[in-house]
Amino acid sequence: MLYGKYLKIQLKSAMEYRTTLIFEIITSMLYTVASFFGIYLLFQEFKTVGGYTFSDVLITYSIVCAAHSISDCFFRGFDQFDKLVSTGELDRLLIRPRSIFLQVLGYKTELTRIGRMSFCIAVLIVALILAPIEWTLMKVLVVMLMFFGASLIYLGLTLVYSGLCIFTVEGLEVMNVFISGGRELAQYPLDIYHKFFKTVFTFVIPFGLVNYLPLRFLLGYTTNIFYAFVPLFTIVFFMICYLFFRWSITKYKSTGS
Amino acid sequence: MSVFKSNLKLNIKKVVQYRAAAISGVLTQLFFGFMYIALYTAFLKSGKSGFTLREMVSYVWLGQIFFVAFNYFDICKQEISRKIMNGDLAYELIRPINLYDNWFQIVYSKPLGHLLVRGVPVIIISLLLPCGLGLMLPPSIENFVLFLISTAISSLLVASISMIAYTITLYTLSSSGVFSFMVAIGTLFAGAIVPIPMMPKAVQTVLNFFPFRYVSDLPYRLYIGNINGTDAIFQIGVQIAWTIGLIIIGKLIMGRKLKKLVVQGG
Repeated sequence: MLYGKYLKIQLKSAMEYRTTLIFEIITSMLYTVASFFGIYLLFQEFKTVGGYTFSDVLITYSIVCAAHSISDCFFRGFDQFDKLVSTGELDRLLIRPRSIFLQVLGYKTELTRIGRMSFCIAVLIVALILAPIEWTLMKVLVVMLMFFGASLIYLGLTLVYSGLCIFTVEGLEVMNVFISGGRELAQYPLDIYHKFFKTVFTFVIPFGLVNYLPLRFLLGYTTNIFYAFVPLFTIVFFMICYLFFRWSITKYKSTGS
Repeated sequence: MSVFKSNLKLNIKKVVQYRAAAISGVLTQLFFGFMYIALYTAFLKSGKSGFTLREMVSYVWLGQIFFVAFNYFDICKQEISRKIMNGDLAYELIRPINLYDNWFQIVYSKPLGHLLVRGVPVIIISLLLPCGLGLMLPPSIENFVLFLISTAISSLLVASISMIAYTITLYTLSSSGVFSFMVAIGTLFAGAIVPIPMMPKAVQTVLNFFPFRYVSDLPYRLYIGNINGTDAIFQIGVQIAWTIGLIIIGKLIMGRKLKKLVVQGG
């Protein structure tokens, strides 16, 4: 309810400058479109990679892309957590009788990212149509789980980032490497890579759980129903990240204003 | 010239001060280097290509080393974009130096500071990596010399491209739109999103008609020996032509805009 109100306020203020909004929506899409085009060109030249075709890779690409853009759009408050800490704004939020998580969530919503989000979801739909999947209700559920799980991973990572902001300013860049590096990596099914990347990004930062594992079920390479539900393990990852965030807040000593 | 030198010194100082940021910058380049190598290895394995594994690995490392230098984002946001947007542009115009020349030297020197702090450690580390995973040595002295010449021209070319973007910003007043567009087109056409030798031949031919390829793709391929002999000389010639052409166009457009300038703010 409260979150809904936060959202409304931000929407209203963005709509004040309507042309700027439209313009920014388009520009936020540009790089994503360029990188999509890059993948298209690679497949024009190479046809397959690790046994996967263009439409297969489009699924993993668009899931990661869409989840990332949702995170960019709705979880922006956590992205800017370092500013909240250094300006002392965090104190103001902590004093309020509402959950800190909810407040940071509603703090900033980057509506312009909607352009990117729509593009990625459009690509996902096209990918699912083009891919040689034999559709069942189960498989539709799997796609939704993949999307849900990927978003959870991003929220988890941004929570860890925010928690770290309380302790250090400098270690943050390293976190960014994992977030954007992981995203680039997870655009493709992880089993095309060397074992090292595959293992780290399945068990530590579990992109694999929303990437090649359920993908293999979708494409019919395996009928083991376990792989369909693998994205649910991202909840474990998310809980760990959330607990870290809560713990960091308790350790918070104000920097003063 | 002394504008350039003092800017360079300032920028190196600034970058070194943020040592932790520098270290994580190096880590970023290293991570992405390994990642792209893993990705393109997977692609090269599944299809024949005129681009060997060894060449690709070195191409990727060169891309990471020069990442900040050969990019198209708003690198001089503080010095230029902010000033256009809030009216401090007026102070720049009062100075007894041509605005284009002034900005050009700032835009040219800024990446060099980053290159020295971020690029050099990556050069050393990638040269030391075990065979197959690391940066190779150029196949001949001739290649290396051509590479050095081409890189020197590239630094001018990329500055001239950025200058076009800043000149356009004088019209649009907001830099983010222009540069979002630049980054998307520039990195795709320059081989930073996908290495140009890994693109379809038809697309490669089209990209020859844009300047972006000559910033990064050309020097990297000279280094690894993918482009040689008279072809190399010809392409360096094209590179020089683009540089001179873009500088002239930039100056013309800027000159015309400055005649009817409206400065922002009070």
